[in-house]
Order: sequence, then structure tokens, then C-alpha cells
Amino acid sequence: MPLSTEWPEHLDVAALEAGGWRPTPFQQFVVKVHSRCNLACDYCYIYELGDSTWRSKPTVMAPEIIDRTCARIGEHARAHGLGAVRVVLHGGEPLLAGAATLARTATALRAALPPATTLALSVQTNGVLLTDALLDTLATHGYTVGLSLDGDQEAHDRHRRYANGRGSHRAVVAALDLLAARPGMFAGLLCTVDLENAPVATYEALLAFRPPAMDLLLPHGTWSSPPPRRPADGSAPYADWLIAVFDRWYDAPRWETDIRLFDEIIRLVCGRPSRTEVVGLSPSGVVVVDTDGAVEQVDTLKAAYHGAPDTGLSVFDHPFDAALRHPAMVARQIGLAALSPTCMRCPVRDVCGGGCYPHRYRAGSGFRNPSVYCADMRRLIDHITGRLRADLRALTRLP
Amino acid sequence: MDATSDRESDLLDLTAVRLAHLGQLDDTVLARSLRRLLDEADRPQDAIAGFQSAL
Repeated sequence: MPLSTEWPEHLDVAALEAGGWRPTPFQQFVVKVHSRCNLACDYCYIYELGDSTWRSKPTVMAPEIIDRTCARIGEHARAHGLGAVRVVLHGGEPLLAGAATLARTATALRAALPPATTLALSVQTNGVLLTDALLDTLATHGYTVGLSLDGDQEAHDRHRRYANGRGSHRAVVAALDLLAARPGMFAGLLCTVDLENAPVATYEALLAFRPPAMDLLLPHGTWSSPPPRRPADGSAPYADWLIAVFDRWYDAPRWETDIRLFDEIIRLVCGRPSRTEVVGLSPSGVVVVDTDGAVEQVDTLKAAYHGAPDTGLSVFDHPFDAALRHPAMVARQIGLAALSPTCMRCPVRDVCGGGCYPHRYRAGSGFRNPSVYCADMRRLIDHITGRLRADLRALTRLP
Repeated sequence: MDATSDRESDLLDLTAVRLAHLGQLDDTVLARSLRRLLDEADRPQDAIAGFQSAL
């Protein structure tokens, strides 16, 4: 358990508001319609790291909780005049909730949202339960589908296995074949980086499925529970891996796909705000609802310690506005004020933004630290900046 | 120099980039990125940090 002195537990929200800070409304809602998974990936931040709250959660989100969650989303959109919201069905494995639950959620959301608010609705799945019949349901209700794939069969099956040890690659490939016939529904691929896998081969294995977008996720870890093969020194093995992919992607004669991490760093290096929580200083606009109706912070915080995402709030008793003033939520919306002194002195501060929030955690001090991936982030950002600077210089010399 | 500390900022300046320059590029990552950035230059520069674990 964390000590009571950990930042941001005692963040003075009233003082921030008195100083002019105002919360940014939530615009992304992660709804956990199922709390269990049909895979047993050994790096999973929900089941395998610091948290075990999933054991006490209902397996499936009950219909009345779905309806209440959707009503709260509609209430929030109306209260803040939101022009658009994004809702992601997540888990566990959300497809375990079944077609009826997915359909009900979409219908309830559309009924709850004001007419002027557009809805981007997606499901993030491991893919193994995806069938044509289920895709029909998802298509009818306007879902897009994101899948997780870690590379070729050897790369993917190293971690993403069923409880009996069997790999899931074959099932995911079958799902991707189904999605290939419905290109408008395919949102893209999430890939967790494993230094055991060759970077360019991994990228090309993902690219073979023609995803419109992909993202490369660093395995979760903290200063107190470091990621695999991330030594506590100035080496940057994850940056080296990512740079190999960046150069392959960036140097392709024609654009092949979007890679969110790289796209967002490019935006930031050019002075634009980030749209992902992994880099930059943009306020977090994400809130999570668990299967019991609990309102939580992003679930990747489970990598830090047991119960880290908890707010004590519920869709039954609280509007989402209540979560906007929770110190832990506020800490994700105050930009530079959340950074450590080390980050404040760093030349890539505004691009890195301290990195992924859970990666800053150290037991005893909390989240006001550089990322455990600090050396990797610095090397990656410097590399991308250098490539862009050289190309922009050459470009603007052209007649 | 950065106004909030003694650190050097390392951001790039796109003001010298013109659409005419991009016309000389194929549909590369660089060209696509710059087109997007120039397209949105006149729009409000607000954004939220979105959820990492979904696409």
C-alpha cells in the first residue's frame, strides 16, 4: 500500500481553482462491460501486476448499470455542451459480455446523448471471439473494432496465451481476416513492445494486416516494479527498439499506416498538443466505469499498486463532474504542475510531458517523478526531432 | 529560452513550410504529417490526452 504522503493524494484542488485552474470535461469514457478475460497474457496490467480488484468486481456489467452509465455520459455531455464523445468498451475482454450487452450499450448511449453530440463508439478486443455474426451486430450499432496483436506468431504467442498455455495468434489472425472484409470497422492494432522481438519484423508483421493505425505500447512498470529489461541506468533499450521501427516507417517511400506514438511526438515537436496520455501535457479527458458502476481513473494505474485507479465514486451516486475534482484526476489535468523538478529542467519536457503517468510511480513519493522510461523517452524524442529538423531544413531550401 | 525555467526548448518551427513545398514530396510519412499539421493550423489548438489502451 502507498504511504499517505504520496503525490497527488493531498493536492489542494480548491487552491488550484482559486488560482484560475478549471477542470477539462471528460470526453472519453471507457466502459468495462466484462471484468474477466479469456486469455491469460503474462504482462497484463489488470491481472498480473499490482492490483487484484478484478476479483471483487461483477463479471458482467448488469443492464441497470449500463443504463445508468449511459445516462451519466449523456448528463455530462449536456452539462458541458460536448460536441463529441468517444466511448470505448473494454474489459477484461469486452466481447465476453455478448452481443446483447454490446447492442444494449450502443442503444442506451444514443438515447442518452443530446442530439448535438456525436458518438464515436469502439470496442477494444483480443479478437478471439470475433465472428461474422458478432461483427454484424457491431456494424449495426456503429462500433469500430481495435485488436491487440504483438507481431508474428512467435512474438504474439510468447505472452498472449490462453490459460492452458496455447497461443492465441491463430484466432487473432482469423479475426483479422473477418475484419479485412469490413475495412470501415477496423480501427487498428495495439502492440505491446517486447525487446525479445525484432522491431522491424514486428512492424511488418502488423502491417501485413493493413491496419489504418497502430500503436506501440511500452510494457507497464514503475520505479518500484520496473519493466522487463529496463535497467536503472542511462541505457535506452526501448528507445533503440522504437527508433528501428520509426526509421523503417518514416523512410518508407509511401505512407503505410499511422503509428500513434510517433504521430503524436511529431505533432508535439511541431508545437501542437498531444491527443494521447503517453506524451505531452494535454489534460487527461478519460474516465473509466467498472462493471459495478465504480467511477475510476485509467486502469493502467493498476500497474502501480492495488486500488490505484479508485476514486470512491459511483455512477449511481455521482455525476462525472464529481470525478473532475478528485485530486488524482486533477493531477492529470494540470500540465507542468504535475511534473517533477527533473522533468521541469529537461529540454524535451513539453514533448515527453513526463511520459505515461503510471510509469512515474515510486512507492513512498507517488507520481511526481520522471518516467521509469525517462532515458528511452529522451532518446526517442531526440531522434524524431533530429530526423524532422533535417528534413524540414532541406524542404524549406527547395525553390 | 523557456519562460518557465532555464531550460532550452527544442520545438520545431513550421512557419517556413508552405503547401508548395509539400507538392514536391510523395505521399510519405513526412508529407502526410505536415499536411495534417498545416490543415489544422487555423483550428483551435485544444486537445485532450486520450486513452492509451484502445484505438
